[in-house]
Amino acid sequence: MDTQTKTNDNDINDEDMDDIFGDTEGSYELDNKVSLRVYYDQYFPFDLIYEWLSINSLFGHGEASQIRFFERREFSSRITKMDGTTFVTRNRSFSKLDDIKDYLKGRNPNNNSIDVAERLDIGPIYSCEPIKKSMVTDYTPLYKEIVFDIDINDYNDIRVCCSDTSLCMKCWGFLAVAAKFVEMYMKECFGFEQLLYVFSGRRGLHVWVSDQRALSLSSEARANIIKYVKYERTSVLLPILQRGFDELFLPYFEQHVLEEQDIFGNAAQYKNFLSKLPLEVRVGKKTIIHPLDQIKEKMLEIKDQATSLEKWRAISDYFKQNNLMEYVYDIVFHYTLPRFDDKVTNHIIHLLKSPFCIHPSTGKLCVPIDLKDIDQFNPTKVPLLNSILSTPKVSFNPYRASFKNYIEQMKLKSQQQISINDPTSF
Amino acid sequence: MLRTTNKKTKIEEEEIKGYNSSLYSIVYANVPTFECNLTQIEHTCLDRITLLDQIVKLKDSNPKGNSTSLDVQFFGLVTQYLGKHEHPSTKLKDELSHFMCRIAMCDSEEDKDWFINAEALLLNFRLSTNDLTTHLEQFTEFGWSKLTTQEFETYQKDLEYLVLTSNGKPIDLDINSFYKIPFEDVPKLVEHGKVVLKKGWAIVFKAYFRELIICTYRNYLEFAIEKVKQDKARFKTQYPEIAEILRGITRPTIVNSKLYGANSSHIKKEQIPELSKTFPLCMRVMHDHLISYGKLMHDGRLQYGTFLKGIGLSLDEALGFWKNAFSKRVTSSEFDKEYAYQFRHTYGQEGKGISYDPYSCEKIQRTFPSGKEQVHGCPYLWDSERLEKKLLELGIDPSKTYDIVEASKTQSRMACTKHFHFLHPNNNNLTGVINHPNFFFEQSKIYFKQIDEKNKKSKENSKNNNGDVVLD
Ligand SMILES: [Zn+2]
Repeated sequence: MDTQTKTNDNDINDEDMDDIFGDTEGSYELDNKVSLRVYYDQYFPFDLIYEWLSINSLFGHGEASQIRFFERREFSSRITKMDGTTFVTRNRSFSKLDDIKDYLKGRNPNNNSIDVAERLDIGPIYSCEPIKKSMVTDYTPLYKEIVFDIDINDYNDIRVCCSDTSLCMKCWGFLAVAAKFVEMYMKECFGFEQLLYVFSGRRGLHVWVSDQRALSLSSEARANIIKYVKYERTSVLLPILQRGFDELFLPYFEQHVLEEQDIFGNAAQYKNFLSKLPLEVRVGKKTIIHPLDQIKEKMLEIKDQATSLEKWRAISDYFKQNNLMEYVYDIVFHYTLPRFDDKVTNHIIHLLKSPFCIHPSTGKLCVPIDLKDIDQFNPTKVPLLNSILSTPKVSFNPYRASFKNYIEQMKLKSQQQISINDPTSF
Repeated sequence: MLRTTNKKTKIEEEEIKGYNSSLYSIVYANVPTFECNLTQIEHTCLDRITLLDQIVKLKDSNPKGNSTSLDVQFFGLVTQYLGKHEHPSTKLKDELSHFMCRIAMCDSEEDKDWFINAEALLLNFRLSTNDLTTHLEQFTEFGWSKLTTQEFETYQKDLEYLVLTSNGKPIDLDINSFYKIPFEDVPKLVEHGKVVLKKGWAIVFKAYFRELIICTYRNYLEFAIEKVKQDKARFKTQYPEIAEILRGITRPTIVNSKLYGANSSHIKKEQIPELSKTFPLCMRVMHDHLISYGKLMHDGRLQYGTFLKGIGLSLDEALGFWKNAFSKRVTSSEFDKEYAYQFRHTYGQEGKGISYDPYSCEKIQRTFPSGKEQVHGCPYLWDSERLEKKLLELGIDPSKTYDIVEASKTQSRMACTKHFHFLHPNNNNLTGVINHPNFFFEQSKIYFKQIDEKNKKSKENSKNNNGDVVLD
């Protein structure tokens, strides 16, 4: 099917599209559309999405401020018509939950289409309601959750278990360790507490940070959050990277990556690994050593008798003995440090798929994940649209319940923050 | 806040009652009560503008940084225009002129940028000869605070890291060597990993206090002047005479961007590819992107478009140039429909009829490109890695590249100036620092003209020589 992307908003021309949206492919078969409409009608948790996006309203306390906050949120969606043309509708906003429902189901006359929406994307909160954009002179994005997007295909050069956009439990580990680091980083360095982890439906993981202070960060501050933890060769690590190394990255590398990604067994992987080693390094004033050659030799010696872990330990010991810890960091971070899609985090106007969407090309539910279960999460066993409709009790309700629980926790945390910040509440 | 009398003509010690000198602060965080007359206002403002102008020139002629002789010259200037430091009238004059100039400089972006820049230089000079810790107390108003003893103990390891990575000594591991500041307020230090982040605080080591003070001060001035601007109408009604005087206080124009608005020389679109080889990097980056991808996003079109206009490309030539550059992706009629308007607009042919001036470095550096498609803005603010890659790609040798990249970490315009010197070896015309892409281009033009003339001369000489040989 020939797919064209069009937009009904003159201010966004196609050259902007790739920047604002993540993946762009996928169109819908007719029976899927029917199921999808049922899903929106009976299951999609509009009430919870509303709460989640507005509890931390920066327009004051109470229900009224929550509504105002929600009304200025940009939503977007994509609709594939019968002729294969894909429409993107941007700058939508809603004051009633039923309106979003209608919008997704395709009954809204403002929708330019009677077709069902493939997905719902969430943007920032603007200075006025996005639907009224054309009526005002000042239309500025004000607030947005901090979001992180980590896609498994950015790890293609270091994984052998899968290729392209496929994702198994082994390579899910890369995303799981990234999530754990985000949690550690956000809590320790910024004091952020309200983090939601969502499987993106196909190849990645989204993290949403909803604390009020996070909502109001500038694009520059967001970009700096990413830059702060970029690793450049050094023997003295930034404290947060040191903690990440000790508690997450090194254990994950030693216990999983070495074996699961066959670093020493697979020829291509081994070659890549060796390419991370320095050819020659000066130690002290006069001595020059040749790590690559020396390590290659050592590996030949112990070739068959040693496990992957023993081989790796021999290599890291070699560097430690020569006081060259930076090369150990180089390797471990290369294989384990989160590979964020920077532009998603940096740009406040970037749209990100809502939790509980059905991924347009896999049919999988974009489920929130509890961090304590993230290691056991199996991306290949996620409920599909059809299973939700046939067996909602097992395929949908538990996810709704866990999202609801997350939101209850958010409410508690927000109330605590209010009572800390507001002396009159005592 | 302000009382005017028409009788007084000179600032005398006994006349400045009501002036609370304990509020005096080098960052002008509090507006004191002034009692003065109109002539004083005019004179002190004119003096301050001259002082700031001199300081900017002093800095531009010594871009390498601070030296003792510079400090001496600087203090000479301050004494000349504001009076001796110990004298109470100095403080009044200093504060009065500063606050009045905020009002005088608030209307145009260019004036404001110049003023903030010059004031930041003034502060920088002042700090260079003062013990910083005596000034830090002034910054509690900006949300800075000392570590508590408990924090100091809990964060020992983190603090050790800061001392170690900033070339501090063990003795610097002292509670007074650190301040904590909301991380949003120290973006540069966060970006380069120069601080330890704890629960939303950036813990800063004293080695960075100075640049931080400057940076905080700039942001504060930016904010304060914006407020003044919003309040200007009320001020005009309340103090019409002062407003009238301030209208006459203008920024000295040295390398004014308006200079580049209309250009007498004419450049043909066919010359651009060749000329682009010696464009400043920001323009070169946009040009290269435009040529290889056949597109340039809105801000880029504005920045590169006004630059080209400034070097003498007429509207007709510009339309031809852009249409051709876009032709990979956009048909001629699409171009006329979608894009031509913007270029005519830039040349003042559409919209309000305002002709757009080329962007100064100041203005370009305030634009924040988002996304890989957007290549406008100042490339010297990029990640070192990306900048290095681009420079090497342009055939700049590695050692020079290293030089430029290093300079970019602290002073983007110095990096740009180094790039200029690389493209124009043995240039002796440009002595200051690049502050405008069109200034870069004009300097380049002068350089090549001189070379042409030299070549002509040597050709003529060699002709004569040939003649001599024949005569022999
Ligand atoms: Zn896999």
